Amino acid sequence: MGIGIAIMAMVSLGGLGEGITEQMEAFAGGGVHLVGMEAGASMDLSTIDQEKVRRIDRLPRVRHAEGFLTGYAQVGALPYFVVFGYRPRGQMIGDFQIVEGERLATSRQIIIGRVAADNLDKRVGETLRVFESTFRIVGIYETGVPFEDGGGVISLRAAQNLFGQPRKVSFLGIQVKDPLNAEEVIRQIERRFPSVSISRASEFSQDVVDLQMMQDATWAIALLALLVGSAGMTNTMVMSVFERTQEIGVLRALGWSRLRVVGMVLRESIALSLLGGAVGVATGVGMIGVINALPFFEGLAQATFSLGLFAQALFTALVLGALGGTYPAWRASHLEPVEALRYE
Amino acid sequence: MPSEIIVETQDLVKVYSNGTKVRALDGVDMQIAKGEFVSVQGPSGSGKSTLLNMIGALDRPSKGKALVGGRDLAQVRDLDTFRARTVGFVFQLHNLIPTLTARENVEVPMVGHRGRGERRERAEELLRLVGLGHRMDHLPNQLSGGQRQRVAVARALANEPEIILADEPTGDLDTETGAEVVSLMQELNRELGSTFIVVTHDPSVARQADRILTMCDGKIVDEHRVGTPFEEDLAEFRRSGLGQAIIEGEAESLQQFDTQEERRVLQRLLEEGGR
Repeated sequence: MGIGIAIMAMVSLGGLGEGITEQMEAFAGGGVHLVGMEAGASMDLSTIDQEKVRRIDRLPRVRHAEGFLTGYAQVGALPYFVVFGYRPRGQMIGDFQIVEGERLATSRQIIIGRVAADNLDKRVGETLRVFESTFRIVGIYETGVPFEDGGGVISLRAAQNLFGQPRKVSFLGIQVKDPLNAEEVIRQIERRFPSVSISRASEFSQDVVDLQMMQDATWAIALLALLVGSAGMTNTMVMSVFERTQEIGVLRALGWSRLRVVGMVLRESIALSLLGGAVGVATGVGMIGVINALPFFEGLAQATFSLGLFAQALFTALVLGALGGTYPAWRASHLEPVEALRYE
Repeated sequence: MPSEIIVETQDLVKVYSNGTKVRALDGVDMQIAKGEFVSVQGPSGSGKSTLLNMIGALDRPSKGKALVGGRDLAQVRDLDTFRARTVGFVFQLHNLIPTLTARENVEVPMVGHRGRGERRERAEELLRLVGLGHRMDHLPNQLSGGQRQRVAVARALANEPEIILADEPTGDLDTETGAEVVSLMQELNRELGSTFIVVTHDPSVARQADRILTMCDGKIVDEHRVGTPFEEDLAEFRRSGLGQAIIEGEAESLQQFDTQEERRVLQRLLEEGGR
């Protein structure tokens, strides 16, 4: 059970981490080659002066650079409603595919994601209050990125007013003229604007400090759970060997070598561990499914489960089983037959 | 002894030190011929099981030698293979693995020595030999005490050992079932020619053997070929306190035993049996 719980933690946290990374990559993608944010800042505190965005846009090797703002607000029953601020006539807003209604036009309008519309039970034509401002819902979009579909888009200016960030953006998306020269463009921008950190869109998640911290924390928690699970496994196997002292004495009396006894105990330990691992994988996936089904999580925490994660989880279970069974196996093999036979 | 000597001990001593020193074996010299059915009898604590453990290489002597098939066990490097191939054990409490079927229990000693198919075939053959061909797939808790002990005997024969060591094989069985198990061992002794060494505190079981070694306080105090029941009763009587008193003519000791008339009858018995 200890191994199962540990593997469940590993799979669920790992799946969440992978999901968030995927979302970040999708969020940062959408037709841009490079993504910029404030150097060294966490995602929710990144601010870049809009003037810098304009200057980057004018660089010879840059086809187009555009900034956008993100922020969080509690809207209705949703504690984490992501608000995106884009230029209504910009290129990047085109990633938000309108499936109902029309595109954003003015600063008193909002388009919301399909998930947000369902969670808030809102339709086109209704209004939505964000902080002290009221917006008219003119359209519903779908992007396939959970935390985008769980939020809404207003004009950049409206977002800057809403969050008190005049002439600021959180991120910028850059299209370069020649993608093969992307690295050179990155160096050029970072040299000229040291306060801006640029990443390839596909590698954005790797350069985001708080994502890295989150992943490190995820693995630290999973590692802790695995250590606890391993200790539990060792304890279980030690108890098993203890209870089967006489049986092991019989095996030794019948001619089983120490090595064969070690093999038997290790095989049992690994089998138990793999079983726990399989249950842990299933439980981890199931638990994330339950969490995802909760309304306020639906547009936020979408886990992605890769075959690599499952393979990693089962391999970890196997290793834990082997490690956890090592001491009990050694102990079992060193029981003297005559003493073990007398044990009651 | 006409046959080859298969088991021999020379001044075998075993001392256990658990706080106080216990001299479980105090210089045991004995020989057992190949194909013999020998019982080792004596009261609890006489050293019978310790002697068996020495012969079966389950324990090491403090002094002296135990030789099996002419080999000094102290010189044998691979005792696991010795225990698997040269001796077979039958324990008092059968010690079957509870989660394995009768067939699987019999296969256990053969793991690592025979292939899977061969193990299965041999296990089935042995179970049929001991009369349990119809119980091969039963778990130990689905078998009677006598049946479990038969499985234990079959398991002991798995690797065709030269010697079967049985430690109180009937100790946990009723008289009738115990007699069946001993009868089975006798039959196997005759059919297969395996040497049987049976430790028991039950004289009726001991008398089923060809020869009886009697132990007391870690020594062999008597050794003889099994005679008629009367001869055995007489021998046992001689070893008893009353018998000793009559043999030695100790008038004072005699006083503590029964009536004058009974003592006269017993004395006559002794005379008839020949002192």
